[in-house]
Amino acid sequence: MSLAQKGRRVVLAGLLLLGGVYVRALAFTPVERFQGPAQKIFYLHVPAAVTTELAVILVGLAGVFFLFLTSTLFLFFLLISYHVLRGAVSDAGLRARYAAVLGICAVVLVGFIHLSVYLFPTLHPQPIVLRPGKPGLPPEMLVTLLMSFGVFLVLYVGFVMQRYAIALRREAASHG
Amino acid sequence: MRDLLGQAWTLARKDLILEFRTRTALLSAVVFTALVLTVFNFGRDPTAVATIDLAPSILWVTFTFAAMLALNRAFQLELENGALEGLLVSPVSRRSLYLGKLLANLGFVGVVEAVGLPLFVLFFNVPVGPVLLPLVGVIALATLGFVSVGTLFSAMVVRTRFAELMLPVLLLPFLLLPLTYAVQATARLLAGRPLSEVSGWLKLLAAYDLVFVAVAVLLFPHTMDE
Repeated sequence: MSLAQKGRRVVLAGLLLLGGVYVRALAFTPVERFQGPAQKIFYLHVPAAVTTELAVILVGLAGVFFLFLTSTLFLFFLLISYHVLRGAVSDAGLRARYAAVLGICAVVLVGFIHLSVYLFPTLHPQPIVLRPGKPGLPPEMLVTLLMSFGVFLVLYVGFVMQRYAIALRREAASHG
Repeated sequence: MRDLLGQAWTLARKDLILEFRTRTALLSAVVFTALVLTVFNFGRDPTAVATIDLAPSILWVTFTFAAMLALNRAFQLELENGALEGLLVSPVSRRSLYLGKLLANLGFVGVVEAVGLPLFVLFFNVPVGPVLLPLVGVIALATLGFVSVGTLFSAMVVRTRFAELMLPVLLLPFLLLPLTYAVQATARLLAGRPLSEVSGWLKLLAAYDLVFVAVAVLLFPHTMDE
């Protein structure tokens, strides 16, 4: 089985698991008292953000930060600008270097966002997992969150496998 | 260290002299700032929303756009006649080159802001007098934050397609955070709140500046290697 096929299977498995986690999050996890049903986004938003952050860290090879609860809107913009930058540089070596520079800056920026959220509570709900003391989350919610993390990691690995397969083929095509 | 700063100053002086002799970019940036403020002045209904509620945001949106204009020309300038190659082969370290460009950009944006602030007071009639010194402090800190990241990115985008459009796309996500701090601090200053309420935002701005100047000094040489 080729790498691309394997990657596709991992992504498919990830998507199925994502469906499962969401059934659990919506139907079998209690509703948060203060934020109401809107809090359900937490199970999708936080793992997605953390996995993106992990990917950005891998891009920048600056893997020291590990932050929970960041603003996905920021990450979303950073990702778009990252892709726009990659699209605009024609030289492959230069493209990799610029992407790494942007990746490192993005990791630092996300650290600042986390700090701001922690210090100024009006911007975003407060951190509840990564904070001094133990996580302030009931066990059912924590289990759902951790399952969601696992699923997003599977999805991420699947995407990277497919992307890597594309890069290998492109390499082979340009040398062959 | 003395070498580093000496070279940086030489480069910054070169850019600033060039700028003040031709004055094309500076003049356009100043006029642009005045125009943005005018647009905001006519693009609002003073009877519906109190000016003081909008003023801090207007000030900072204007300064963000003005900084973007200034940063776009920082390395564009060096593309003519292959001047960038000349700089790279000259016995000037890459870090001095960054610091020199940073200083020149700070000077450029500083002039634009020095003209923009009185115009802002004129258009929006806000009580700036009693808080002028802290307000200038907020502007200086936020500008350093904008320009430190912006100088790094403007060095990257000159060698991309659509450089003028690329810089805002890359830079604005990074400016959102200092912009938030600056707007919060400015709003409290203009509302006449005590300074102790502003010091938290000032510290955050200072931390942002320190971190991003350090990151940019470290990363800049990698954007210039052939």
